[in-house]
Amino acid sequence: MSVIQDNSITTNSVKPADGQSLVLKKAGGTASITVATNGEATFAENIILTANKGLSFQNHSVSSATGASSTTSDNVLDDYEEGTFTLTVSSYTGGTGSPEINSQNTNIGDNNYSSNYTKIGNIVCISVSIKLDTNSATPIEFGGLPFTVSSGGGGAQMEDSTDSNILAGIVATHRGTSICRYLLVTSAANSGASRNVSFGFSYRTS
Amino acid sequence: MALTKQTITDKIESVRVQNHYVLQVREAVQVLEDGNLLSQNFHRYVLNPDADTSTITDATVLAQFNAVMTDQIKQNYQTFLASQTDPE
Repeated sequence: MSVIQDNSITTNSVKPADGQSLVLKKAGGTASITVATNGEATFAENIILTANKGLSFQNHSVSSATGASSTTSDNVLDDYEEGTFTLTVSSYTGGTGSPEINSQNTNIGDNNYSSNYTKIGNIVCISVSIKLDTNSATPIEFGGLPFTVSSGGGGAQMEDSTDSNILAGIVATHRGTSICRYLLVTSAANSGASRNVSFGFSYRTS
Repeated sequence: MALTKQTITDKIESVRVQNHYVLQVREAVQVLEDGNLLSQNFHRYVLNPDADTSTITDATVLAQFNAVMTDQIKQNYQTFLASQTDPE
C-alpha cells in the first residue's frame, strides 16, 4: 500500500492511494486500525479513552431548526462498568422469617448467586436473587447498592422461580443513599410458601 | 508460572449529595500470572456517613472515610434523612 502526502489541503493528513484502505499496524505487524475506502474505521483492539473523556454523540442531536449540534455533556457516554455488589437486608420489621439474599435458585438452575450491576453512563442496572420464607407484603429494605441513588423511584418485574410465576413488585430507592425498598405484590394463590424471587431494576446515579 | 489471586481497592470516590458526601468504593478481584494481570472483576460498595467504621477493613478507605465524614457531614446526612419521605 502506498501512502500519499496530500498537499492539496492546508492541514497535515495521510491519504492512501485511490481504492486502497489505510491500515495502521501494531508492533507485531497485524492491523490495529483500518480505515476503509468508505471512511469507516475498524479497531482491532479496545479503544481506551483518557480520564474524564467519553464518546460524544452530539452530532446525533442536530437541531432541525438551526442545524446546530449540541455541545453539552448530555451527549457524551462517559462510563461503562460491570461487576458485583453485596446486597444486605437493612430492615424487615414485622416480616416473617429471614430473607436470604442470593440463595440457591434451584428451579431455574441458577448457580450464580451474586448480585450483579452494569453501569451505563449515569444509569445503574442491578439484578439480584432472594429467597423469602413467606410472601408477606412486609417491605424489605435493602442496603448495599453499588452506587448512590440520585433520584428516587423505580419498578421491577420479578420472576418467582418457586412456581414460575411472573409477579409484580415495587422497588423504591432512597435518594442520596445506597438503600432501596422492595415490596412484593402477589396473588393470594401464591401466598404462604417459601419462594425464590429474582428481580432487577435500574436507577440513576450522579 | 505462578497464579495468584488478590483483591485490591482500586477506586475511592467522594460523591457529594445535597450537603453530605458518600464514599463509593470499587474493589478489583484480580488473577495474576507471575505478577501479570490475567483477569479481573469489580466489586462495589457504598459507605454512607453513618457507616459502621469497625467494618471497614481497608486502611486507605478508612482514612479517607474519616477525612471526609466530619461531624458536620454526619449531621448534614442525618438532617437529609429526616427530610426524606419513606418511598412506599
